[in-house]
Amino acid sequence: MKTISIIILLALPLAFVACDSKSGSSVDSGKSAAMEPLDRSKRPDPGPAPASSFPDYDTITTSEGLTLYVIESNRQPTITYRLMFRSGGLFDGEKTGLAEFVASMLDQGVAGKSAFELASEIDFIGASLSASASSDFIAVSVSGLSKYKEQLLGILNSVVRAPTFPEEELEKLKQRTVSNLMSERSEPDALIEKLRRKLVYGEGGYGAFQSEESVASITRDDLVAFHRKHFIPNNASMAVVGQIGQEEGVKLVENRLRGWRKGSAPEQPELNFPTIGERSVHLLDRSGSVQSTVRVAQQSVPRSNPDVPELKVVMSVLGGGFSGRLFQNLREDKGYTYGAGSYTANAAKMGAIVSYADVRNEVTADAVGEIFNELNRIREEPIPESELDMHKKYLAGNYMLSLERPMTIAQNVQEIDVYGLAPDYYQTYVAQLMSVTPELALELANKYLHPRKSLVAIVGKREEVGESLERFGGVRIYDEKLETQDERDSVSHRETP
Amino acid sequence: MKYLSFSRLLACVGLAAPLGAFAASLNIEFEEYDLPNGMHVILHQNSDAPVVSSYVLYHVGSKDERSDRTGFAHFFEHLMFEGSENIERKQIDKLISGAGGNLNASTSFDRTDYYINLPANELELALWIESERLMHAVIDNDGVETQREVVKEERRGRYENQPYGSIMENMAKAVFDGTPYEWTPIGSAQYIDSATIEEFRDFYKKWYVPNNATLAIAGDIDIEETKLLVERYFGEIQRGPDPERVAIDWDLEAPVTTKVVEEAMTPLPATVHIWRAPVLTDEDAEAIELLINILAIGKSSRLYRRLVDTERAAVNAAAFTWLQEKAGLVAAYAIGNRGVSIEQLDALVEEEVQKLVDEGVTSKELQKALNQKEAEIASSVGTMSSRAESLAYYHLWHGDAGRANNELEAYLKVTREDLQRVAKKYLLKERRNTLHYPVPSK
Repeated sequence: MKTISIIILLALPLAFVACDSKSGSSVDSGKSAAMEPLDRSKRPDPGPAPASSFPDYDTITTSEGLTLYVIESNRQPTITYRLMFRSGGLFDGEKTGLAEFVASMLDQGVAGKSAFELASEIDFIGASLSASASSDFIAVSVSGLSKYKEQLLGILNSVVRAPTFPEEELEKLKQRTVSNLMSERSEPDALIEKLRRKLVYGEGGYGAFQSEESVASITRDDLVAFHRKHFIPNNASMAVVGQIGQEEGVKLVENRLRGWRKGSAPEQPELNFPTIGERSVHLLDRSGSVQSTVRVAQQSVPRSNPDVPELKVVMSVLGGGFSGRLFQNLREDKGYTYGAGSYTANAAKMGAIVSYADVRNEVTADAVGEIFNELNRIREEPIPESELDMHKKYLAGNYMLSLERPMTIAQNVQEIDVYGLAPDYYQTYVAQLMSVTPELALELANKYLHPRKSLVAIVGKREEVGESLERFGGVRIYDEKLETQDERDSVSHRETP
Repeated sequence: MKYLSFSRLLACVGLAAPLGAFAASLNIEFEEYDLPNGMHVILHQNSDAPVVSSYVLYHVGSKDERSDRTGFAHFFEHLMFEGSENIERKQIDKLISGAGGNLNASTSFDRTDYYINLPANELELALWIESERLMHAVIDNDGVETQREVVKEERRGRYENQPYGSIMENMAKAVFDGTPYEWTPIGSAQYIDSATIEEFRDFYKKWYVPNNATLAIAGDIDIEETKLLVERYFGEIQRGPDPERVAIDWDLEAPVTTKVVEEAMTPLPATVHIWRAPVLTDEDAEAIELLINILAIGKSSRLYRRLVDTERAAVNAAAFTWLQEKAGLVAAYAIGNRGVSIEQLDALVEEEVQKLVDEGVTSKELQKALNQKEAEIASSVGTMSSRAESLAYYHLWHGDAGRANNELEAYLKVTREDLQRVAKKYLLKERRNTLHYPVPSK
């Protein structure tokens, strides 16, 4: 497989007419062209650009205050119900991981059924249930064959409204979670993500991660309280996706969820973020690493910032897909890595811009240098028109392709809800992409990319890469628990007063 | 919370059948034919969205390599992105990006595939690129040198730098020893380094011929017009000699092995039990798959229920099949909770497997497995890309693209007696190979 790094696209224009300005003049390339001999030296002309529009959907608010969307699609005989609560790990308080525990415990027992009885019921109809928490939201979805549409909704209804959170199952989950924490300490991808978040966001909120202590602190009462406060219909949206019509979908959901009690929507917590004044370098020493996992990260705007679509074009030039500069430079030119690119980590309160590459030990510092070169270049030189044009079409075209998946459409409709985006966000999205000129791109790059306030985070073998990184500044060293020597000292100091 | 699983390590070289094929209730219409040069073409029209997917499947994978040139098929996949006589080096990615599309490729033991997804008005671009790289890909030093480094990093990143990263290689070695399946698609870096440009060109000439390729196109196309375009781009490509393939003597009853893999970064104890299994077209294939699903799919499955839930011994336990063109295996594994011994994991997995052999399954379990299969098939036909892939898959391995439309039928024929019969035939303890990943003592 070539690589896995492709910009995550946000889908759903209301009326998107694709992208080639010359397409109006090129004729249908089929039969007429077949008369002439084939000229293999030239890229074939595209046919007339297709028009594509987002399938109509209505936003319904049920009498319980639930926001409801039905996205009909008859491509396959399946249906998915997806509930998204506007509360996530930011509400953990002192008990990091609480929202994740709530999500994981939803199917571990519901009124009248044990975990195993519920699992047997889900498995017997070939359904799948998933529940996960991020910092900003909790998503719970059930999918299966559309002939079981009522049963599927019944399963979702019971896990979100009547979970019993049995003590015994909580103990099992804690044990597995602690084992997983052990495992994550040997996985470079898990380690770098924790380090990156800790550096960009500081200790709490988006930067918090679970530990043996936080796992031990979570009680059944915590789960019950979190559930009672946040799992209310007026704190959620639901998408019904698949082989079901609007009217039937609305009726089904309204009937089944009747009596779900409203509550007062929880107030979003205030967050403090660290001020990052200058560049700094952070190395998590993993003695067995045969490759350095490199991230250059900075703080960025919240998901709802109005410049996000235009900034996406700049980010695509920098590191989107196979044609992004980081991929072309670090992989195709230098052969340092299998994959390289950049992405925007979306979040409600503060996003992050991250450039990444996994490179062999001996070129670690050179790779970091090239990432900075590309960050600087895009701020200093206007992007050539043709390169910019390619990336605008890349984003717009792939956005159109993503309309093929009704689940993507539903997820993005729900993103409007959870991130508070403009209601017409997707109607104007493509026009915003296409509006980016080299001048605007340069302005946005200077406004939003901050190489001098970037954090270099690396998981790698200190013995082989530590010294070479000093050219970017003093290197702070972390262990696999993400503690520095200082932090370890102060912890042991506290423990032995 | 993400649960630790081997699936990421195992899935990434495209071994599994696509979760493709279509539910019995859907009828995916298609046309298929051979070009005079032997290339098989399958066309599916659907206008739900203005997209088109092109999927080219070459019948060459790592098992077609020489034992002193492993990794060739996969390396070649990388070279196919370099350029052709008419497409400048490094332009393929950019052409597709600039047309608003995406592309990728993968290599498994048995085949190499290339896909391109585009807005429907750019079909011809896909045909141009795919015909160029089949007709006259440029294989030169520049491309080879860069990709050598890239592939080494792919190997490090996917396998050498990950806990349990050697699992796939160890499984293949344990069970496929003595056959060309004993090495995995990523191969050995040393062989790619020592190969000459001439050898890469010979590999290309031998395997990348139209008579070794299947082209499937699905999406918003006009069938008649597409036929003309396919003829226009691929018709002039010369047929090659049918590639000669090494015969593989697949012995289900070869001696078993046990291996302890000591790796410093192993975080939790793990055990893998592996049995030799038949080839993917064998009449037992569907029964084996259902049996493994009963063991492994869902929180009510036998392994999860026993090891994770009841005994609290494992953080995860599952099983899977790797049925290939000319060999096969099935495996069950458990990753233990902290402090659990490998012996305990072994005993529990062994007991659960032995119960299948001794007692078979209940009729409710069979029904559950069939329902899960039905749902899996139904939920995998949404995109044009998945449809093209599925049609090509069934054409290549079963000689019947139409099987994509009635895949479930083969499973519905399976009885409880079949399940116990295949358990007795393949999952006996004396046929079991064992891999252990102990946690190193510090």
